[in-house]
Amino acid sequence: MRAPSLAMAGLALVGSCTTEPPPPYGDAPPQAQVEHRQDLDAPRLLRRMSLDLRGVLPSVEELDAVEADPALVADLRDTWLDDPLLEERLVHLLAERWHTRTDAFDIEHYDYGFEDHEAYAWYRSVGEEPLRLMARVVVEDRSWTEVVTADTTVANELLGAHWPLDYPEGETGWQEVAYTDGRPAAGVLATNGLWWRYSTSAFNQNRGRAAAMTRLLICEDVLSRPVSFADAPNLLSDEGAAEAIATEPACVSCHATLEPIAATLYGFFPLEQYNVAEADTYHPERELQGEADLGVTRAWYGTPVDGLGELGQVIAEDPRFARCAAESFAAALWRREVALDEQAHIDALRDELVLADGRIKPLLRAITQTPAYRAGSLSDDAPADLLDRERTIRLLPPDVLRSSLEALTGFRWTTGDVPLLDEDSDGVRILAGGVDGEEVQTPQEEPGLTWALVGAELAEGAAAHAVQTELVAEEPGVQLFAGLTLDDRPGDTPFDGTLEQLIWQTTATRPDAQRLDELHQLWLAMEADAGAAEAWTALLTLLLRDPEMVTT
Amino acid sequence: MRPPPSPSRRALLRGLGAASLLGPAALHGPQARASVSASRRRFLFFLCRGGWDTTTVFAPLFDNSLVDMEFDATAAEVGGISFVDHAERPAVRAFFEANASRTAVLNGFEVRSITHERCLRLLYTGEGEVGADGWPEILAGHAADQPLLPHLVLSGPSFASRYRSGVVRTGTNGQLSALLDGSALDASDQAPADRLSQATRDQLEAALSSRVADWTATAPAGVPTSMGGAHMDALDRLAELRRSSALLDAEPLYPLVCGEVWDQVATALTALEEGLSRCVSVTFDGWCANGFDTHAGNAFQSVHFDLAFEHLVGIMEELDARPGQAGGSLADETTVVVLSEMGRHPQLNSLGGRDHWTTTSAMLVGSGVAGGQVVGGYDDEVVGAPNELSTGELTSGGTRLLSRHLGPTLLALGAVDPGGFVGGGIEPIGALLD
Amino acid sequence: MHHAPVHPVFIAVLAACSGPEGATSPVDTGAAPDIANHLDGTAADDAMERNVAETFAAVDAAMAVGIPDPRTASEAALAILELGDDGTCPSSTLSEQGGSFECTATTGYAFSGFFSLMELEEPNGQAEVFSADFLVIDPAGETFHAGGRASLGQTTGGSWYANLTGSWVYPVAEGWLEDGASSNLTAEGTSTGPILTGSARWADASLNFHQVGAEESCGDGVSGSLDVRDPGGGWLGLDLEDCTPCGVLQDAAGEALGEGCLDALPDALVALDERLSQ
Repeated sequence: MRAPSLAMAGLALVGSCTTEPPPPYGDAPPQAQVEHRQDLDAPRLLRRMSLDLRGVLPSVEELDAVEADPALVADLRDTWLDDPLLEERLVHLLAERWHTRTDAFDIEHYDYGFEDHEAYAWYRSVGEEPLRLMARVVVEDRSWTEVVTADTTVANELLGAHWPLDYPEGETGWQEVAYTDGRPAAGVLATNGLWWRYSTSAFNQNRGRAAAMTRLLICEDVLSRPVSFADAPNLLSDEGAAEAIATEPACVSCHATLEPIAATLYGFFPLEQYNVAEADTYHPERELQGEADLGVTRAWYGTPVDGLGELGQVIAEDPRFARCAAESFAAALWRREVALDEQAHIDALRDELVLADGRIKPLLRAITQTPAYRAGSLSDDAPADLLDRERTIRLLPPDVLRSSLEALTGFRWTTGDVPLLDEDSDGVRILAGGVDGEEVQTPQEEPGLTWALVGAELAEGAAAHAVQTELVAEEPGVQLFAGLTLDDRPGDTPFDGTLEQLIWQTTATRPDAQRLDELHQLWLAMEADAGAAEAWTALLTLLLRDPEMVTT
Repeated sequence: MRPPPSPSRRALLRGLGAASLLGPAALHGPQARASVSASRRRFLFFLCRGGWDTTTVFAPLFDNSLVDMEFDATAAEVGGISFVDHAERPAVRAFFEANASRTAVLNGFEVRSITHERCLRLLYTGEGEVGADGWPEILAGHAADQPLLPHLVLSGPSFASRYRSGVVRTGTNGQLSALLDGSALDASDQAPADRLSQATRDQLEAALSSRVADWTATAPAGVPTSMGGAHMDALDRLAELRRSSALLDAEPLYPLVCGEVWDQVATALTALEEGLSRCVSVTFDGWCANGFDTHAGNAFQSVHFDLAFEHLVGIMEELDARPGQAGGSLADETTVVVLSEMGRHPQLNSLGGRDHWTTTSAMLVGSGVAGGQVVGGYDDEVVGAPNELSTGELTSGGTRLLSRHLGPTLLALGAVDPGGFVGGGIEPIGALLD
Repeated sequence: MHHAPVHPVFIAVLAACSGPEGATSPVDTGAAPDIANHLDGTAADDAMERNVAETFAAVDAAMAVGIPDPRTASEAALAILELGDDGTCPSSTLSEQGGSFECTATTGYAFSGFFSLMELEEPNGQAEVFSADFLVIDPAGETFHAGGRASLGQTTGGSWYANLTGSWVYPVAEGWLEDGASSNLTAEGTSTGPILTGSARWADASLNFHQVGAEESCGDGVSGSLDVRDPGGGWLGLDLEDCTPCGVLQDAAGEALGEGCLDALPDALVALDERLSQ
């Protein structure tokens, strides 16, 4: 099904056009990035990588290994780039930028006959479609150009049952499939999921979609340009409006840049915005309508295209496409915007991508080599702007909180299969610092009140589940308390060993004697009041809310 | 598929009878008010999302032949406020009759974009830069009394960077309350059989606070001190909020039929009354949440506006009825900021709707507002007419208002130095300030 | 709100109609490389001719089914609404003029969505406009899916015009509605028949019409031009020549691919005229 891997013509061109490119990241990043930054120690760096790439904490064995030999961090990182968990993690990482995991679309769940309790599964399926395609391209080591050229999408059984897809009957799960309604091969640009999130109207005529494309694919935010009607004379007359389109800079930029792109998207233009068939089925007969309605020739920044399929290929060859991929993945892992004075570093990362034939895994590997990624502290003489922007400590996003605690304790915070940390109709994704893609579009960077409240409830739920399962009911669970019983007390080897291991596993930090003693005393006090099970629940809750647990 | 709004809907005005019983002298709002220092002033942001049609209420441009004014509408004036009156919108007239003296309409300021997302950002931040904080966030961040929930967002957007930790969202379905009372966990599929006892919880929280403090104190250089500080602050505020959590369960002021936000308003007012918040934000999406974005069927602007003004009538009545903290009413201490992210085209399109228009209006009501006036205006092209900021007088040599002028004005109302938040040379609209 | 699962009939129909050429995978495009590799020059030309012939045949097949029109759409929709509604759905919401509904009547018909039937001033004149965004599932489980507008009107010049937009399908209907259509098509009556403008997809054909019809200067003949989307996604142009339904098919670059005729077009126009000029 897969489109033949495109030659990285454009990417290669970028490489050849760059005069004396800075050396791609390997083990020797540019000195400018090294200055003022100190890496995290090996266990904490490993923990950051594990949570970023897999969404789970490293195992005790993995931490032990890199503690003994820090060089193993790179080996484990490379292993994790092939871990099946990477795909799921990428979906969430990409969602922070693509904003498609929303809780509502123009077409609502009941339009397909879904009950309210099925809404979450449906909306996530829709919103994740383009994200899953991108993630699949990454994990299968295919060229990133396929994001805009693939003739397939990635869909699950829900989408397969309701959209025109050749999803195999009787199967389940996210699978690479093709639409059967004649839409062009254009990767995510030919997915319902993307255009349901970025919907359009008779007024907007796909312009907003075009703006989303330039922002997401080449990191150019056309909408940030000011648009003033006050500066355009006679805008209320037809002649004045036509004159403004031709001469007014803001109008011209929109007309010249966005409308030729918008004109390529008319196969996705619904004539009835809230109608299912209009929205979920491609309309090939409308492909030519954009040129007539908008009065422009279909094009990408001046390069004419014959449709959406060719548009994807032209975008893939645009030098800005590779650069934007490098920048956006760097920003995602640095957990901040890329600063203006870091453009040379982004160029170097882009070159890494070019050398890798557009494969993202080498790019991810290179980003984890950057001092900005590895930084755990800054020197005392670090400049103020670096102190202000560098994220030496990052909050765990809600999806990572969810997946890491589930892996650690077996606890799933759900109501009726809806993970509360992953939606906002009844859930707490935004309150936990997350992104819904509509009201909140960037992840929370620092602790806040609702973040703390969500963390408290989540931690208590997870801790109670683990204690109840393993210590009270003495079921196998996830072996968090292996070897421990409720009769063990501070000073007993199982107790002390378990506590030290819990801290090590959750924070990648070895507790000192004072810390252990404080925790022993706390446990004893709580145990005296409420018994060992509650004391362990509270102690684990405390560890799961520890500042070194909830950050990387 | 969306059900079409019913054209036969007639709003039931709430609480208007009392106002009319007071006689003409009592109309247009109370005359004597207790003063409150600007640094303690509170704000209720009421966003009408989707881009309202200013010619439905704020811009009586009947003399401009280029403007398609509403059939059967008339120009009216109450207490110095000129507006578009219509029998189908009794709440609008009722609002002005009750509140004109403390209401100022700002006409003709431009939000320089034509997309909703961008316009919202410009409206709330002025320049729209990535990472810029919104006016409510800045005001909340400079609250004199360090409220527990500095900016309580019941619904709608927030733009926060430096002041992110001050933004507290309730969730649209009572999530914050459910977290506070434990039901969010207790009702979940793997709910604990028993929750921690209060004694254990107290010990746990004390240990965590101590641990965060130690961690913050020993953090290496370059670790943002704000991270540890924000963590400690969050824990402190959470502990305090748990003690007053019942306050977030305010019942709707009036029944919810279709699209009303009386529940959010009730919680917002409680937060203001109890001193929990300096800023509260409520977003109104129109009748049955159909939004103000009327590219087709512009007649629904009338329905949306009438319902919006019903809310504003109710909000002002509640603010008048509730005590403030300086001896007067809560209305004396609260500025209600009524906004929409853009205006609509002066001319109807082929679908009987109106497309986007960059020039729009806003309305300030209550504390600190020089009421009984319309500031700014629309010129013959229905864009902002230049005016003298300090007086509001329209003059060709004056300033053409932009969304960036709104910020300094609100910050001035809140006694926040606008330096650092707005570009140089951007002055408040002094004419709006009492 | 009805709770019966909604069967994506329209989707299924379109999916079935698009056939293997709907998929753009190199594996599935239908061109068998092992055969093509053995074609000599003549055979290759034949293949191209076959392609042209297939294109004409596909368009002709669509014409034979009937050109999508608003009268068929609105009458069928109103008929099923009337048939299914026995008054057990809330009477305040379902009426002859329109309404919104989420209910299952005792007739066994399930309604979801809304419609309206209005007299409107349209740019071309006065029109009766049926607007719909609904589905009705009949007792047999077949779904009438409607999303768009069906307008029928009189122009200020005294002739009729018709416009059908959106997506319409009812698998137990006859003609084009059976397999459904996605349309943005306008037809205007003239003394010699209808003139078509706009785009439509039905019966496996995606077409753009440019003043296609019975232009007066052609007498009983037809004129105009069409754009025809080929299964691979490219667009081919066809100018009808000499008042006949025939012409040369051209690719996007203007290169001639071959000649052919849309033999079913004249009859389709006559049938359309009969339906719309009532």
